[in-house]
Amino acid sequence: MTNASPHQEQYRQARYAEKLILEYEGEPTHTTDRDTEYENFLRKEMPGAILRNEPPHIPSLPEYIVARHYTRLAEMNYGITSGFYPLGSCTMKYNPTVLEEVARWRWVADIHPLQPENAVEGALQVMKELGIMLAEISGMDAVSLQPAAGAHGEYTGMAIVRKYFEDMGQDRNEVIIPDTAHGTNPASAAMAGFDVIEIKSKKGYVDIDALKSVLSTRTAAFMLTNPNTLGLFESDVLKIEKIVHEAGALLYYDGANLNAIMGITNPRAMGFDIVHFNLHKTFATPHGGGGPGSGPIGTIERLAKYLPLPKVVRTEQGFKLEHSLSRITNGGCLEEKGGNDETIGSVHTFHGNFIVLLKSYAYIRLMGRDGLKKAAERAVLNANYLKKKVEKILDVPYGEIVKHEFVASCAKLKKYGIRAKDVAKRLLDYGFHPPTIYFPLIVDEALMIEPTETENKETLDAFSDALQRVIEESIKNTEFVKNAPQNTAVSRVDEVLAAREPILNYRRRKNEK
Amino acid sequence: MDEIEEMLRYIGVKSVDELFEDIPRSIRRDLAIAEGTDEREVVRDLERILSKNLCARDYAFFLGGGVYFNFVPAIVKAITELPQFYTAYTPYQPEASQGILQAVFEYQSLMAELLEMDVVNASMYDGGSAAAEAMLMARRIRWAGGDRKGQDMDSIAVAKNINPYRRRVLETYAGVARINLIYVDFDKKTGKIDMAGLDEKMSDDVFAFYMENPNFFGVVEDEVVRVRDVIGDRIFIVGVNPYSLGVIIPPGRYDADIVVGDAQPLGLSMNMGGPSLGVFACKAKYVRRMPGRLIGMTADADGRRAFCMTLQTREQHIRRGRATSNICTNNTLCAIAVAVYLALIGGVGLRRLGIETMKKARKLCRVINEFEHCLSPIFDGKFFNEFVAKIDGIKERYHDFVRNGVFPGIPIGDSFEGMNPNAILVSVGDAVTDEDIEKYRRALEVMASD
Ligand SMILES: Cc1ncc(COP(=O)(O)O)c(C=O)c1O
Repeated sequence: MTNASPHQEQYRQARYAEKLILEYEGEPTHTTDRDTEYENFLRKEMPGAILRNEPPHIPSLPEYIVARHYTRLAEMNYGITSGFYPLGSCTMKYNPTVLEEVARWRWVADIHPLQPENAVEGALQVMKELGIMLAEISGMDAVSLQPAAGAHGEYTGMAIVRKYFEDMGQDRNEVIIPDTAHGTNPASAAMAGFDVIEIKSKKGYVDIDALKSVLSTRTAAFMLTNPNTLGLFESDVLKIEKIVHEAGALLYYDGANLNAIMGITNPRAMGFDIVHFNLHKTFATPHGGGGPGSGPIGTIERLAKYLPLPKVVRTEQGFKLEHSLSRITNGGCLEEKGGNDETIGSVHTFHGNFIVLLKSYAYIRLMGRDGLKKAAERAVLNANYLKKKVEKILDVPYGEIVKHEFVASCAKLKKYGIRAKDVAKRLLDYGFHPPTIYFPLIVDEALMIEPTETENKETLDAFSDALQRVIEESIKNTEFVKNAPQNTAVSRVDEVLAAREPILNYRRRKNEK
Repeated sequence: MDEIEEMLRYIGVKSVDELFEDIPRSIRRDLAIAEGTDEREVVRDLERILSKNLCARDYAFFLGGGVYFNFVPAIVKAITELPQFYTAYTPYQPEASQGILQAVFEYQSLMAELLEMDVVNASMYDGGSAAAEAMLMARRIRWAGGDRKGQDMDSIAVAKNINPYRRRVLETYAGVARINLIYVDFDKKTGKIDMAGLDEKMSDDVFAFYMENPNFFGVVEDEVVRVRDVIGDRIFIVGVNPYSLGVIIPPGRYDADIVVGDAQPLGLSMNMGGPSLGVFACKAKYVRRMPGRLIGMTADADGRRAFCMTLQTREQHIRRGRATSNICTNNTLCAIAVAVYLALIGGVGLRRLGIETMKKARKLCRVINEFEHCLSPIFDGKFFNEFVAKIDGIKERYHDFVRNGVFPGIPIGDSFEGMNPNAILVSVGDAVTDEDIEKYRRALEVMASD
């Protein structure tokens, strides 16, 4: 091929035939006199019925083997520091390194969740100030920091909806969700015991007539993310708000897309009653290859009493932090349930993912009110710029002006036997993490592209050049694209095989042999 | 022309504001938070704030109850700080994410080895939510089993001596799911589950039994091997402290159906309780009803060994409202940390640490018992690395202990019916030294002398 992009020339992911850690020889263990003494002690102190007679079959490896093993694995993994990561809906912005540094401090790592309140004043101050900032950013009256991820926040929100209507003596068992919603929305509603009613979108937006036709006295809530997963802002949100509230139902805001609107509008202004935040998206905390995240949840005043602790509540005298540590030294390691305590309870053992809360706190302090607004503006600028470029290459079925993301369709490549997945794989060869594929479900062969604000024009141009090249290759050199990627640690992974004969750990594999 | 101008022109708008014209004026809102600052300022400020926390390393530290003050080797932290790991998203594109995928597969393997269970998932948020999800899964299994149809099998028996914080999470999820919790009492003398009481609670509507081993009092449940006989074919869920499994038989050997727990003690700092690592394991036959991500081994197009997420048809992004759980983001990086820790110390190391902490716990237990105003332990069941003592006046004098450099434990007198009000759960992590135990003695002496 001629004119290969500089990226393609440069990008090579490391490729090691790296053994599994369990395939390494462990260090021989020498039994010492101390061990004999230990074993005698153990046999005396551990009841025979449950005494383990031998150590677990896990080899012990020298530190240098462990260090090399994981360094090689890391070299076979693409992160934000590797390059552009326009994974739609995931807001893969760059994570400032200082967030990692503060999280390592001993006053952070070495504090226990049940230290009495005067022994964790710093942590409580961070929680309180973060809660206030999230309340202000969302316009909500109270914020609980307990949920550990976005979906966990959704579940908490749905549990609150349930409790609220129970207390009202109303039998409402349905939650309405648009067909563009993220899978966690219906899953969370169902987990909280609701029947999920999905409504079809109209031109990518909530179809108000469809919504009206399913709203009833059985409706408990309508869940929405705005901008929605197509990157479109639902300008009719106040109309939606009106009819949902008139039907006596609550409005839930999936905050995964908050990055587009910070400092411009907020969910409260749009009329929402409950909102969750994805700190690992909007507020720059790294995603850890899958987690941990954090999904705080905010509500209007009326629902604040249901929130799990720790929570920050707006009062006439300013915000106040409520937490469960005040009773510790009194011998009550639990906040009393019942009585005046109307909370739904707890969804996490302790105070949520404090480390992630702290990182977001530091990030918001760094950014401040102008910084967050600028982030939203640049994210939207980048998305619209890239959309304009991508439109020249692929169909973008929904939206003139978008917010932080947009969804292109690879449907026109189907006649060449090329699917969105193939395009994604070939993009990897050019050194780009591909967009989210096959979501939202209403776009055929979807590529969901979210550039975020921490990218410059040069990167966006390079990405769209690569995409263009991939589309050309898809038409002219179909087999080549179907066989992509070639520059990654492994070539196309057989996911069908993985599901047909699941091998879910090494031990099991040995047993089956 | 700067690049913003260029981009605006390319889009065909005059200003960034035009890109927001679809947001009605009536809902525009400014942010009511402070101005931003720079890195230097944030670090300085956070140092000022966070140094107000009293940190375990500066004290003789005996708090546990699910989160332990254990030593974390430097390499564990170094590896989780590799940016290709910590800045990556969930490995949706396996070809570019083999590092995370293999590391998590190895976690699943190491944990399966430790628990002797067929399948371990890629992680849950924490021990509490893992236990709650296990309860929901157990009901799914029984309802699908067809032996008793419909919603009449809606109770779970739960041991009363489990971690009360986890119990609170269980109660919350149970309330939402319309599941009854039926509590099985513990023997006030031994601290162990009352097996006769368990038998009595096994009515027809009970679909599962949840217990913890060691239990919240640190006492090992040596009769756990009999539980299966008592509960029959109900789902048996066990919460374990995985750190104890160097010396206690793994739950796979006493026929647990689902195993949960929190792996914080295996290589994670205490972190104010989060993030930690929710462990979730089950028998192979139940894998399709399991919550959470699973990493499987497969091959690439060239026949090389490769890894990817698998059995995803259980999950929310495919099954939506009928998924086995809503979990999407989990605690992957913590799972990797635990794998690194296990690989480093190995089975032998885990056994030694287990024995060492048992020894230190016994030493401290005897020290406390030497005092007139103390009784230690208050339960006579054998314990692992924590125990319940009675220290008269502990509630009033807690802060004196702290002033004397000792976090003496977690007062639990008010948390269990019939418990001595001066009961305190004393836990010994492996970061505890003999000197720390001496400090405890001195603090008790001060207490006794006035
Ligand atoms: C729109 C949307 N809602 C909800 C979620 C769920 O968030 P989490 O993965 O933190 O559970 C996500 C992220 O995956 C999302 O993109």
